[in-house]
Amino acid sequence: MKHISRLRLGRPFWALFAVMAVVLTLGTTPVLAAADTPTTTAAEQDPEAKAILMKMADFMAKAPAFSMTLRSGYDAIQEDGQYIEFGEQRHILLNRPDQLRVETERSDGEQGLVLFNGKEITAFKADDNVFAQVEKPGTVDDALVYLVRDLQFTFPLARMLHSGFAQQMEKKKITAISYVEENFLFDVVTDHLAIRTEDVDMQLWIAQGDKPLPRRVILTYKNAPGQPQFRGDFTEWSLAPKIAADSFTFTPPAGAEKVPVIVRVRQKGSIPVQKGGE
Amino acid sequence: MSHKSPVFVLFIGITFLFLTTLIGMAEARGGGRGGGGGRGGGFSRGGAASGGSFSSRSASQRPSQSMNRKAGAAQRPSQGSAAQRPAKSAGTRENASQRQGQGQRQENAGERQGQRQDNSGDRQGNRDENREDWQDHANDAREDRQDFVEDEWDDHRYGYGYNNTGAAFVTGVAVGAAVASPTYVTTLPCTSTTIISSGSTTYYQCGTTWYSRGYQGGTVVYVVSGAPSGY
Repeated sequence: MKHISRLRLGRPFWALFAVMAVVLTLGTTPVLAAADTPTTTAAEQDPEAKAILMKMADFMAKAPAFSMTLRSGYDAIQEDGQYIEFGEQRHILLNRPDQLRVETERSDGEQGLVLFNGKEITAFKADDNVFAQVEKPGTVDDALVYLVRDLQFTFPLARMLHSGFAQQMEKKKITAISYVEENFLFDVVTDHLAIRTEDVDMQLWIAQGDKPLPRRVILTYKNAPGQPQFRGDFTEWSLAPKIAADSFTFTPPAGAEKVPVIVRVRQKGSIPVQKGGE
Repeated sequence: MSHKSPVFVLFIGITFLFLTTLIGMAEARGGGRGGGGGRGGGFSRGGAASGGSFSSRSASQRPSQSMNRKAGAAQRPSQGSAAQRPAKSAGTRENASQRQGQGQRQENAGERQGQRQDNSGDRQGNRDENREDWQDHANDAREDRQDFVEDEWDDHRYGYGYNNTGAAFVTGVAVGAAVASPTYVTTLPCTSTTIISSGSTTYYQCGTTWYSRGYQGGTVVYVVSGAPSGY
């Protein structure tokens, strides 16, 4: 009992201990919080990052011609929730104002080709030896919009090939844009940007220097079930591509069958009508 | 030797059953050959991320030109052969009939009779509906033009099952073709397909229904058509 009584402390000591504990807690908390808090916030609008993005978009939009390879992959979420990645590779040759060639190979080996020559769009499927042609006089911009919006072709990152890319990005409701870091893992040093919009989060790796071309893009569809991602790597950029005489001319292979293009339509009553729509 | 015969027969029987089971298992796993010549199949390639768009809204946020596609089962023959394409998953005619029974439009049912005259009659009988479809299409085009102003032309909408394994019937508009509102499937709803080349068109037969090919969304689809000449 004597031993225990010797350890018994007086009230003044406990009061001092309590005060010190409070002071230490209050003093340390902001430091810890500061250490954990990211240097950027969700609503950040980094002007430097925005300038890099717009410089890239403007550069691509004004390039009279280019070719590159886009190797991409995306999450296909199965009914049981499993994520499966499928891939595609596209060799793209663009010659403004009115010539476009896109060779596509899917990860399962299926090959396709889309050509635009200023007058018509040709789509060819090698495995089926089937092609379709649609008249579409105009520019590459016209053809891109028609392919994606009207004919509902799958054309990843088609917006980046449009000459209005910069203006479209300018108009886009970007809720946050941040500079992540300099990245040294590509063939050139790149600026890594993080961009948030209402429905898609983007990451872009853009080459530094006088040719600010993208090297990588990741799109996260955050409002879609499972928040799947699209990932694309750009390689083999050329701003002076070799254009052969037949680069934009389609010659049907032997036995190729010409088929009509089908556009899916909304069936009456299947989908609610948008208010205010005509 | 004669008293061993039953045992021998039993042994042969068990061996036969074993080998048959192994072959069945192998087929179930491998699933045949895919569209690109590789193995695999059964997985959907669709989804919100497949389009690589810079914007994406759910179908509930915006009306869509597309209609619901249910994941189905079907085989898709390669050009000029009845080779199986298991990447589109295995299917049967029963599935097609089940889907038909699950509320497909009557005009689809009519076209599934596989008789050109009936199809023609259906189309005539549903001219008004086709006109409405065209009207809907025109309205959609107007909406899309508005969207283009908003720079959302690459918006790949999700929520309607952009599922390449789907074999449910979908209608569309054939651009530059005589058929105004064709019905099509992304994969044929049968495994045993009769393939007929008539003129420059290849026809595929599943049951009593004939199909020719079309191009939809960058993919070859099978359009319900009349029978080829002579069939």
